[in-house]
Amino acid sequence: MRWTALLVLALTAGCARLDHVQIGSIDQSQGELVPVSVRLSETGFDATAAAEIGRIASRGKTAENFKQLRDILALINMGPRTGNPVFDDAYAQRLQEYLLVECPSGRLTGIRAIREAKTAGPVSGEIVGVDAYCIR
Amino acid sequence: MKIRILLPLMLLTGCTHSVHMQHVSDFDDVPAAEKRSVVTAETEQSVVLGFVFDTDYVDQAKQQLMAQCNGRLSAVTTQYSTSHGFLHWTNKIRMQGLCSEG
Repeated sequence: MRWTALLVLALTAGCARLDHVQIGSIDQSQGELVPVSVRLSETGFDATAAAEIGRIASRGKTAENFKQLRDILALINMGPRTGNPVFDDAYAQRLQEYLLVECPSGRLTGIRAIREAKTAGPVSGEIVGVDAYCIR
Repeated sequence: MKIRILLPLMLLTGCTHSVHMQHVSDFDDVPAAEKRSVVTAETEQSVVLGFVFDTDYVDQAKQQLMAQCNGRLSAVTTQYSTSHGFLHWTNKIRMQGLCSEG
């Protein structure tokens, strides 16, 4: 019963999360605006939440072990977080480079910086993206 | 037995990060590829059990970026992230811009 409930929850809990969005100035007077988009992502994994799921799904000594594991993981991963933690914080550093590949002239306007995620419980795709218009 | 499971797990999950925000400034008059260079500045703030040190690390990143470019800085991206740790964490600011001098 417990496993069935967890499975149903896991299958239905997949969703999207928006953390931050910001838009800059828009200049429609310089020429044709061509939409460009760049998305960079990294797999996020909340080990503490996974241990908590293990604790809920088990009983007795095993549940106690999962509880200890959860507490230890929380202690060794302290700090503010946006979404699930990732194992590489450099995944978003080439945003500017990719934007210039999409729009070699560098004439970009209407830049929308987005921080979002696709989530499925303790696992997620942590996404940094930019939508903009390239002036051609 | 328990330590044999815990130790690899701690090593595997002990170096996590969180990217909070990636801001992109306007791309105003970005110069041609041969006339521009990429400049980068990174600063950090250590936090131990919630006690913060060095509260002007964002300004330091900006000063570092400006010091590397005497001309025009454009297309500045700013990343704010945190590296998690045992009873402490490190907040990081990374700024990158395109510099055109002369």
